[in-house]
Amino acid sequence: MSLSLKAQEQDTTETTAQKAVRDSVNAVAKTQRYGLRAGIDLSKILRSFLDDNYQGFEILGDFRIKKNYYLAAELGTETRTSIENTFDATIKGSYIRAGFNYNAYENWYGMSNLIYAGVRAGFSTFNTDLKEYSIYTTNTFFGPDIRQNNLEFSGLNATWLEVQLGVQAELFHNVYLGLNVQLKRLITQKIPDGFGNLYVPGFNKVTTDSDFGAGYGYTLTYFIPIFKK
Amino acid sequence: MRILLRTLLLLGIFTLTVNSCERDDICAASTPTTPQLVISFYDVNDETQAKPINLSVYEKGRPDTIINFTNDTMVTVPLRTDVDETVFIFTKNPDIPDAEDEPDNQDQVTFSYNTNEVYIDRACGFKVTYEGLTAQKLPLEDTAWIDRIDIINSTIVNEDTTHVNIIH
Repeated sequence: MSLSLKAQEQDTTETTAQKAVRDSVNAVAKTQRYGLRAGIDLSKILRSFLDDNYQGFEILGDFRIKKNYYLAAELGTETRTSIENTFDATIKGSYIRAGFNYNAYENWYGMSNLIYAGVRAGFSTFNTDLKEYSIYTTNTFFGPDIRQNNLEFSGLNATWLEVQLGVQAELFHNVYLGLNVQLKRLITQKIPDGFGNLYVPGFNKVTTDSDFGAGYGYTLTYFIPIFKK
Repeated sequence: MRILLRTLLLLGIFTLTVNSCERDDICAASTPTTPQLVISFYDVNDETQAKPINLSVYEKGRPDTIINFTNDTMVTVPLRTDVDETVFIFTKNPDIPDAEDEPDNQDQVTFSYNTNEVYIDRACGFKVTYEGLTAQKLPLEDTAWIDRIDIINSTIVNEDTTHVNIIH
């Protein structure tokens, strides 16, 4: 008799506890956290260490404005030495890319990962230093004509549009590791007089006869919650 | 979570391919680079007739670097890109002492011009084009084998047409 009573008591307490949990789940599931996610691009830092011809740094962030929409931007500087067959040039400049991301990932309860598609408009200002070059000839009758004029082309700029696909996964509480790829198309560029644009900071390599470019980023960001909705 | 991992993997592979196509290396043969001088040879007795020639060409002072042409009516020779004149020794019928027509005969030819430096692209870099071409001939020791040099095209930007006629 006393045993069955105890069992009954246990049953009721369990039910109350479960109900409480369920209530809180419902409450949390309905609210979404909004805020600023800010961080850096790890790939640019890593590449700066590994590649003697590259120095780069980028900060980036996004801000949630709707359930699935985020305002997003990247701001960075890059220095790239382009070693070609007949010349070496160093391009140095900074850039901004701004736009938004759309999150297509339905999270389980308590998680806030992203698989997103985004669009950006990019703008870069940069200088190009042409250190040494030789004149291309199809024969070796006279030997190479090497010129060390050290030409400097300043005040160059470019604009482009890009599509970004990426993932943001929450590693620890509020800390996200991200990976994204960028497909870009040059819209305008100021071409140096008597030379060409080989690389545009933020856009990446400019190829001959094509306006398209590509890039990627490995990002580490921290989410600062501002409000819940 | 599985979707997340798959997407990560796919993007990871893509970033590798972005890095692997970093350079376009080769200057295509079809791209016009620094043009050479195109010379046509005509008969002194009938200037409308192309006249083949055995010719050796070297730069004055560097007789070790020679270009040879055998029985050609049109030849191409490079011009210096670093200075605005090139002095050649043109030898007709080189090492053919029993040739009927002017055997082993040397004439000095000086081509003068202005150079323009032009950027082509990443793979080919820079080329030089020439303008204001003039030519001067000077017989060496023996009689002149060159009767006259006519400038047909004083601007040299490609090798599609003859720039200079030599009448011999």
